[in-house]
Amino acid sequence: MEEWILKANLNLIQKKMSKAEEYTSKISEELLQKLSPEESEKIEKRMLLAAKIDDALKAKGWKKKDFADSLSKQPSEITKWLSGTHNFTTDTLWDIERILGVELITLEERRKEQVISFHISVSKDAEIEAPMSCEQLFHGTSFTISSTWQKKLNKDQKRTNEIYQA
Amino acid sequence: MTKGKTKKKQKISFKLIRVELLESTIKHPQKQLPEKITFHFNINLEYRINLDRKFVFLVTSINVSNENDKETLFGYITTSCNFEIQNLDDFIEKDKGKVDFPEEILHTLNSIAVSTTRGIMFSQFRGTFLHHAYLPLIDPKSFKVN
Repeated sequence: MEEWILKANLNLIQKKMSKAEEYTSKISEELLQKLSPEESEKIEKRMLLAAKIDDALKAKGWKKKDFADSLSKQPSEITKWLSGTHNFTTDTLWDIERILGVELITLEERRKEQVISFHISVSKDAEIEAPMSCEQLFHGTSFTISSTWQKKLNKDQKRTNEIYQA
Repeated sequence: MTKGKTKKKQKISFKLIRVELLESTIKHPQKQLPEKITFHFNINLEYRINLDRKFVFLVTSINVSNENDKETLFGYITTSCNFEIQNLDDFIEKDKGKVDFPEEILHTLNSIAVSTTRGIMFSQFRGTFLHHAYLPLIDPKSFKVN
């Protein structure tokens, strides 16, 4: 029964992997390796920008068409913007900022957090009621167990030992 | 920090927006304590100023130890008093872009933070061997800048 469930789960995982995820090509790998770190960074930033615009659209509950209408553009152009391949002009970015209410270009320099610290030492006399140390708490007190309870405890200990040995 | 005498009295408009207990620890002593003890308190105040949001996070840390053995900690508490300073821009030095609070304002904020922490500390330590280790009154002017 367990084996059958395991096999079914494995099939499900395999089915979930799309063809695109499984696909590997020598050409694409070579192309990616040829990219300089600067180009990779540029691509990453474009993708992040597209993702930020997409998030803002979702937050507003807008579809591509609503966004295209508000900017007097074609929906196909919005699709290109959201693909992460488009090279935006600053004017377009400012229009997007205004319509979606998000910040895409930061002009003001962010001010760093300032830290100031003070120090003082003071002392105070006090009386402690019944001070007790850890030694007294954990090892200092002793108690006795009645003979019937002692027998029961011994029996339980024996059974526990048998289970462990088995 | 500027001296109050050299500058005109500046008004501050602020609100205590949040009080947080960040950390609290009690470490029971390994050895028996004497009935009469002198507690030693090490108090550190740290201002973290967020200029964009006009927030001042005042983090107060207090170590409690024995006057005769300062290295063995009995307890430790850290709190944060978060203030919103509406006219924070009035205290920014334009050339340096840094906040320069007059001494009086620092004393006021220090005093609020220490008093608040005293109360939290008592509620945390009550009923333990640190029940009587409540923080004594401290002159806010006696704090030294680190």
